[in-house]
Amino acid sequence: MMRISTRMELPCLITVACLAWTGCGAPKDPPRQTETVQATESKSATTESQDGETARLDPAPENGSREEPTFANNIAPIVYEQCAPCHRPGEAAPFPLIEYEDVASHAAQIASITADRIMPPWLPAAGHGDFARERRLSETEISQLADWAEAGAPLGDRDQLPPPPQWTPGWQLGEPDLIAEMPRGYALPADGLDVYRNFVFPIPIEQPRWIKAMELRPTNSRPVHHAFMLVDPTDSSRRYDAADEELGFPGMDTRDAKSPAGQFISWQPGKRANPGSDAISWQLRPGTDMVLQLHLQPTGKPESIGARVGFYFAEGTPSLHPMKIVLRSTQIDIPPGESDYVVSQEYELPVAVEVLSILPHAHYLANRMECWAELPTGEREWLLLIPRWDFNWQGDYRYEAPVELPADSTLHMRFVYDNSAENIFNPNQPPQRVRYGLNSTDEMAELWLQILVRDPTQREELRKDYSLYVLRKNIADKERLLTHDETNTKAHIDLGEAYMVLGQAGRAERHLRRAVKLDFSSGRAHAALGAFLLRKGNVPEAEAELKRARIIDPRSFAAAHDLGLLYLNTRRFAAAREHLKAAVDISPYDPVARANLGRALAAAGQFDASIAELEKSLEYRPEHQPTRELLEQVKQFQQRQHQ
Amino acid sequence: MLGCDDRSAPSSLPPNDEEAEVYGLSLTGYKVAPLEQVDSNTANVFVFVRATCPVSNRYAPRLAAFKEEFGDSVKWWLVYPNPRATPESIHTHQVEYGLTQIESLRDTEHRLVTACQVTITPEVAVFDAAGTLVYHGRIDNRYVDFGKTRPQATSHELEDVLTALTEEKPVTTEHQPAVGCFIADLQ
Repeated sequence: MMRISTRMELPCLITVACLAWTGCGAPKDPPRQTETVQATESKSATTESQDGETARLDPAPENGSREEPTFANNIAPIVYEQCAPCHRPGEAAPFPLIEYEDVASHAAQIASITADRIMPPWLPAAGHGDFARERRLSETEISQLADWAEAGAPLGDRDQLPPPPQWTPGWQLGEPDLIAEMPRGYALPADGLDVYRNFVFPIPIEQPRWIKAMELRPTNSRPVHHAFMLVDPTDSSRRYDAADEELGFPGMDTRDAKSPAGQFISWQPGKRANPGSDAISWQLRPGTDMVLQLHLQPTGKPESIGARVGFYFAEGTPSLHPMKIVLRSTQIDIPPGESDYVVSQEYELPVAVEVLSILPHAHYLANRMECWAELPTGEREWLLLIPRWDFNWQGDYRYEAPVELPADSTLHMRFVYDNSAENIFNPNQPPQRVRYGLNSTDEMAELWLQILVRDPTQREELRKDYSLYVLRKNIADKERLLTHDETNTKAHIDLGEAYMVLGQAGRAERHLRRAVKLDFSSGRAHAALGAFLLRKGNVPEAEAELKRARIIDPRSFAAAHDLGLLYLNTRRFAAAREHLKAAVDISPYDPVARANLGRALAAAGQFDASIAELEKSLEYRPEHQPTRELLEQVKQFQQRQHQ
Repeated sequence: MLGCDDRSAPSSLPPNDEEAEVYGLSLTGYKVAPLEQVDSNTANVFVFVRATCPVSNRYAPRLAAFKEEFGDSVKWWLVYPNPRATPESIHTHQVEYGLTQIESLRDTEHRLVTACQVTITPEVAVFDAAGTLVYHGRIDNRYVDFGKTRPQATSHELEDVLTALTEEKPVTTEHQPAVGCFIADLQ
């Protein structure tokens, strides 16, 4: 069986960014020494604010007067709405901002940090995409916070104080239908660099389900600065996890884990879980593992971090099928000292779409990020502008209303990188050459868009067009790679598989044979060549390659399955059963392996066992008609056998 | 409340410095005048912290390591300028962040704050044996500005100052503004 990924979701190579919500910084001016008044309950200044006149950008505040702002009248509503969701007990921020005394004890700091728009944290520039739940203060609000601090942070009339908001305790989205949980806490040391780690744990689902929402609840929010929720239907992530004693596997590279079909799901402190909809849901199959990428920042004391992920089932089957389109470039090679290195990419949409959400992605050096659509009329529709990227605040952004783009619009991505010493986020001081790669020391340029095709009948057209676009880019990238290093076995295998999909058999075979020649000990190379030869019809050589692959890597699903299939097709049923059973053992939830094993069993007259396998296969892939029909046939045979 | 933990009582002076102008309060309520004992130490370091300040806290392991590294010739003080911080909460903070080996003082009236010329938590002030304030400012340059953190520090001011003093070399480190919460907000 070909294991080429032609699906929309590409390997999710995510860097998890460091969070600096410390929100602490040097003031632009030295902090004013506020008058030391007697410590009473009220901090009302006895002198009027110097700024008695109202040079405001917006009309006077609602209380109608020109008085200085007070906590009770003006500040509390702002803080409750914009700050408290993160700045409250149990959430990620380090101190609460709800009670008057707490807020007043940060008054000047708040004024400074909001004036610089460092808090609330929000990277996209206004006027370039309308996003839902923007974390942005108005100019009035910022002025009021500044005036309030200037006035000595007065409380005002406590009777006028609005009650603090009530938050839903526990799961924001309500009790989940299913919960997956990290088996135990991960021990984060007190000190050191930020930790990126991928935690793998099973999702205890018994049958395929449509999922409309996921919610993440870390047991200890404070050290968690960013999370990405991915899944892996194979046992690959589990194997990476098992490589050492510690929980999970390290690094920014999530390897074989992928974001769920048509979705990308990230978590930042204070982010409200997306309730999703029945119309847009994705299918979760049994045997799928949760891969939770956490970015953890040491706090100064040892911490233990656990997490639970709640799944919410959709009603019925989805009526809308979002797709992910990724604009990315691997052509990144930034010389040290270069401060304006541009990376760009584009894709022309063959059909009309709606853009639902967007996720920009890079590592430490990205500075300015732009995404726009060029319409056929020549107009530009901005999708995202981040003037100053901060890898700490990586996240996805949902549009307030889907952005409609007509057919033949071109999506553009343009990222600018700063690899100079002046970029304080540069991890290399002095700067060094940085190239494309998955590690924190490399760079990436990706823009993920979640889109819906306006006319559902055109969905297939877009899928095909986009698949080809991705395939051709992959091929171009790999070919380029080989010009630098012709001995890269993996590139040869990837190219071989890609050319197979394109139907270019000659090229495919050349690359796959080269891969085997370069690395005779590579199980994957033999498996890929074997699969190709099987398709070509060269059975004896295919058998030799696949057998070799099986010996080198007994846990390779592809080798086991394809060898079993070879024997099935050549009517050697006992051997077919042996290898297909192994395949099922490796991936018990793979419907194709089950179906083929069912066929092999039926061919040997073992109808009961065959029916069991076919039924399992249908459990995992209920929509597959040929399997259904085969099951009916085998049942008939079984009946006749009983007579 | 604090049991028999005697770490918070000064070791070399009578417990109650009634006369002193510049003092802090030990966790058990004694007045302590740390600037009157500077001459017995090569260096005297005052670290101003706030329990809920994530920048202060993230430096805790580094401070503990410095204390180990520089040994007995350097005297350390942990100063809490937040008038709302109770002795109990300070003790808890020290335990949680592994800082119990450093004497802590409450500076509710900001007398030490003023003497040390600090404005931020965390910020350090270093006096030599003669009682001269040779440095005040950031511990290192990891934190650049609000919301801007280097992946790693590239200059280490406190370490440089202490190294100079313990090696009897002149202190050449210039004052570098600290980044963190404003002490002025703690009235």
